[in-house]
Amino acid sequence: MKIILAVDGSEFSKVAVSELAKIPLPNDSEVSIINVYENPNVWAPDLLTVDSVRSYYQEVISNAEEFAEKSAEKIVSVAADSLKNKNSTLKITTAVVIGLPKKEILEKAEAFNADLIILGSQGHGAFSRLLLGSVSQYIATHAKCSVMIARNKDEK
Amino acid sequence: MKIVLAIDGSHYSKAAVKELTKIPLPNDSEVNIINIYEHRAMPMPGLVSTKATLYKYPEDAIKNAQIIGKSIVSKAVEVLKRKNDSLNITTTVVNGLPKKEILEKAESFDADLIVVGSQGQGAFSRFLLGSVSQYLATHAKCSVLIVKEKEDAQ
Repeated sequence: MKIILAVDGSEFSKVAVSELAKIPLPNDSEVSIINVYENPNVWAPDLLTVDSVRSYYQEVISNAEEFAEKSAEKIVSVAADSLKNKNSTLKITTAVVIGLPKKEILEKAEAFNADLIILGSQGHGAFSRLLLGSVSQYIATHAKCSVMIARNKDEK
Repeated sequence: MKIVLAIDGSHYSKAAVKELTKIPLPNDSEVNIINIYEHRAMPMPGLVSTKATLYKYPEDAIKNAQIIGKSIVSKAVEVLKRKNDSLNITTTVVNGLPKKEILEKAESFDADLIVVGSQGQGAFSRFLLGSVSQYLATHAKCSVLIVKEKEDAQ
């Protein structure tokens, strides 16, 4: 069974990791843990024509990118560790991608030939009043494979 | 692990049953297979009072729906049992609003997971996600697995 686990480090995606750990998987299962982060944008790109501001912004941007990538790597490795703890026979790979989360997750699922995508009911982006985040909804609607929206019934 | 498997006998719900057989569930897992039929209101309830042959129509309709529902769930039981004989399987056939009955069952059963097809009998095939599946994904308190058959996606 080939599974994509999409995480963003939010509480909701931690539930997805723990719910996946609860499901007994066939021994030859492969899990690809993916984190997608959006490219940190510049607020006022016109300012970049001023030299001093440009160099300042470029520094800010490259710092932000570096930071985003580092935190993304950390998010997937934390998820990988907690899965491995629960089931050491799993074949786990990780991927960190820049882009639009809903699009990258679906593309990864197709490239990986996934049977199942697992993700939390919402992520960082959603207001907590939402019951189902936009990415989860989009994936549930548009994925070509099965989708599991993870929730912990014992919480709240 | 406690699982509610909601099926309506459609092609999509057969995929859900099949997908569930692929997961090697722990032996103490409990699966409740539920089928919900909607009892459509009579188009002309006034006719009932004429005591004509139509009088028995609602009764017969409900009885037949029960029979069809029972055969849908018992087929699913067979498929699941063939894969894993030690599963603890119960079945439910009820009259009601599918999305509501499924959620109520999941809560009373204290389910960890609801398994459904991506759409059912009701949906036009141009829909990518049926209304019941979407409602469950949004409102369930537990995890929801929406099953799609990869091969049939196109």
